[in-house]
Amino acid sequence: MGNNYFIGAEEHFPGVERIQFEGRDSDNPMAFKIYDETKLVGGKTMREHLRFAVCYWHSFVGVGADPFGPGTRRHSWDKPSEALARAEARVDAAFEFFTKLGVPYYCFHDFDLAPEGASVAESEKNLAHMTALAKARQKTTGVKLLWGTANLFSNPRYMNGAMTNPDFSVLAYAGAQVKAALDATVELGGENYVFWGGREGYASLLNTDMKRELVHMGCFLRMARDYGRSIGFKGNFLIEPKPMEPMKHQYDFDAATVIGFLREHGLERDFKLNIEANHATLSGHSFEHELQMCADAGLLGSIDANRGNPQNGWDTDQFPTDLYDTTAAMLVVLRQGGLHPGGLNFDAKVRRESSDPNDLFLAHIGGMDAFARGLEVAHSLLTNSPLEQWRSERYASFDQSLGQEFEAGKGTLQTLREYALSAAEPARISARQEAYENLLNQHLLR
Amino acid sequence: MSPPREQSYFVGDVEHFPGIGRIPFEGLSSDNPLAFRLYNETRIVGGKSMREHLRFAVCYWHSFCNAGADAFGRDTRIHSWQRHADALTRAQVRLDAAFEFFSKLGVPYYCFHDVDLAPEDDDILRHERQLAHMVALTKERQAATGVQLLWGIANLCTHPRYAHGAASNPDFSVVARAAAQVKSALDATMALNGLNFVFWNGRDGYASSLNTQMKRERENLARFLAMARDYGRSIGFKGNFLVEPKPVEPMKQLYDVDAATVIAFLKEFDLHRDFKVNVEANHAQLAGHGFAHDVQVCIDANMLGSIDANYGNPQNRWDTVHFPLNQRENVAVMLALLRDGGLKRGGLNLDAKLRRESTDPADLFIAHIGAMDAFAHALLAAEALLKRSPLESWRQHRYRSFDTGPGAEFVRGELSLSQLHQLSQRADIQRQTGSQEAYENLVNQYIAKHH
Repeated sequence: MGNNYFIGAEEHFPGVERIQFEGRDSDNPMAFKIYDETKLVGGKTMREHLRFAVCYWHSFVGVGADPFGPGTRRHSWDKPSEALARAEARVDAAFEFFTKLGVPYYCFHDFDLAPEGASVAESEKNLAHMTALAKARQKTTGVKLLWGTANLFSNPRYMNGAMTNPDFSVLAYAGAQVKAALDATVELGGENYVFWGGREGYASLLNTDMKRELVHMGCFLRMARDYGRSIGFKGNFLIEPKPMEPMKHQYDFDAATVIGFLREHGLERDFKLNIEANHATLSGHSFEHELQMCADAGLLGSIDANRGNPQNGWDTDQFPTDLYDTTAAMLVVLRQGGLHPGGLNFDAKVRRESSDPNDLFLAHIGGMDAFARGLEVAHSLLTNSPLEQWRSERYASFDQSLGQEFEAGKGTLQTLREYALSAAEPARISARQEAYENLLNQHLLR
Repeated sequence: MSPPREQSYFVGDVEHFPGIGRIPFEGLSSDNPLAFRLYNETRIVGGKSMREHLRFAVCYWHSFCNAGADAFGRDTRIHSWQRHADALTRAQVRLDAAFEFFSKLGVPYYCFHDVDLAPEDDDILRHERQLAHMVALTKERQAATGVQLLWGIANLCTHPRYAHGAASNPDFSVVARAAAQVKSALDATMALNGLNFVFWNGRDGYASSLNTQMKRERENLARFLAMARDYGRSIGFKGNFLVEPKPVEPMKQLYDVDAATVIAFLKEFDLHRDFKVNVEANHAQLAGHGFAHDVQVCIDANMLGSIDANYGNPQNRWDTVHFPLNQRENVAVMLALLRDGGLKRGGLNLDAKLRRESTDPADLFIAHIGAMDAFAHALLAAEALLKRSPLESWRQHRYRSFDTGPGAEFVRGELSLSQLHQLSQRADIQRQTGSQEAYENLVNQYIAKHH
């Protein structure tokens, strides 16, 4: 891409050009300090490692409204009075932003890209129109679609859920919407297709048949997979876990729950998981725990890179600037050999009080630098520190003799007892958490 | 289950709860704090006695071992059975106190950890001898009272050797040591005709991911459980093995997070035919679920083994293990259990403890009486809701579009996404209310009724 960027009929971010890498000594807030897309880390460029994506919804649709007040930002692309004209201006603004920032990917919901119509047919027509425009912009800029998804939670018809709605006619409507979103994703060469089950859950168990709803969800996802494969979609389907909000309980609670669900319904060959940091922390887990759980099952598909405020019990979707999070995440990603065909999608929003157009650049620059640093630190820890050796030594007793036989599934409870009887009381072996944490800081603060 | 033994109770060499006899049922008008108002063990509800429905168990650890110590201070209760200097003598006296309590309260079951029943010893052979000695005495008390063992368990959490876990310890020699303890605990459970054997893997998790290979630890945990199952079956144990989920505490992260995680784990490692789940209310709450949610998740997967009935303080993010007195939770759980046909081989184990400030010997009775009355009431309310209220028909009606026509075809897997798309063109979506307020009012109406 070099230093080119896209401008449509109007420039939406005037005064901002292609964001440059200026290095760690730069004081320019509109430059990268760490993220140098061409820098090689362990044989791959940062661009190839990190596979950044910008999300359409928070960045180009959200204007800062919250349950306590309306939007605070006025977007230049929201000026036209007609919805389709707004969508056309928005796609230009989005591709201007993607190319000025220099990200390789973006992600959207169907109704971020195109206005929802009064009927299924009208919605499909709008989406097909905007898909053609987005395709042209992709061709001009080289920016690609990491994933598409259908918004099955905003319209009031989905208040009781979409694929788990107790009313079949709502479920059928959701089916129509997913079909169109899959058509759009395939048309745009999308590498993944995501389901975030935002209303798939319940507000009260009293009126809910959980088993029946989960069976329906399994049926629905199988249908979506079969349709996607029938139209030539080769990418991964992804489920994004979240434990609650807006519902009191959501079925895709956390990684372990979703993995169990996928295996239960025979979906684990086509579906993987899209892990969002803030959803992990809402479910009482750390970001890295959820990533590791997926990686261990061979089911880590993609990442929604954001963070929650540790004191808030809801999804604050802040930009990921916690270096401990980004380092831990990149340790998991590097150990599993990379993220392809997934990416790091900035499913994050600027604060309501952040109302300058530049804030959107600053937020993404900070997130990209934080992950670039996390990549460097994780790579350094894995290749230039005793971390891996310490961790494998901790399990050394399973690499030999009886321990090894145990891992191979040999022996019985009685043979373990006999060994324990013949051996001395086990030596107290320190876990040395403090040494590990110091080691991490030592590499982080270099 | 043994029949109730009306007014008889067991007293050993010393009476540990003098002045308290068999707790009577006195009905709703009674003001006697040491009587049941609702739990009438012989009362028939839907064809079964309350005793058969509720299958109450008293736990050994909180009731007879714990004396109020917490992280900030030491014991506040002085138990008559703790006076002896010698550990084995204390265990013998404790056993008599426990069976006196069980039989005065009138519960059919109890539960124990190996080290509650017999003193722990670093020497494996002495540990096994002491446990066998106490098992023989316990067997006599069971025969004398008719009280039975709901489940046994090995404490693989307290001893410092288990600091990094037991079955998932990074050191094989600790795993082997844990196996020796599980073997003798299984032998004890078998000798006492225990109906279930539980694993609460209280240190199997991590304090830091930096020094942890989670995948390897989870696989070792699974292997260990398979070995325990094989040994248990080889000595003739016919009951269920149970895993008890808990998300955190004492570790930053425990592997057996919640019901869904444990069920997926058991299925992943092909353990689900022998293992089921023991759901504890407070653990479900710590995992961010309601008590009834985790019970329902198990029932829907045919994996509910037993229940640890307690309650967490909603504001505290640790395991406060209060006695279960919240009727919204208890009724929801009894609804789930009745719909599933009852507890089967499991029971309601009152895995709850007195507050540290509760220091009278009678407090232990009062706490158990309150919990048993609460569940007896929940049973009556749930039975009435299912039989005499519109609850089931409302809920059934909510899903009626899947009972016939294209909805039923969808459930049978006969439709494609393109056909759903076609159907949506002519679908007429009526906004269908969830009526949560009506459901909640209905439940409250039945909570307030006289049953």
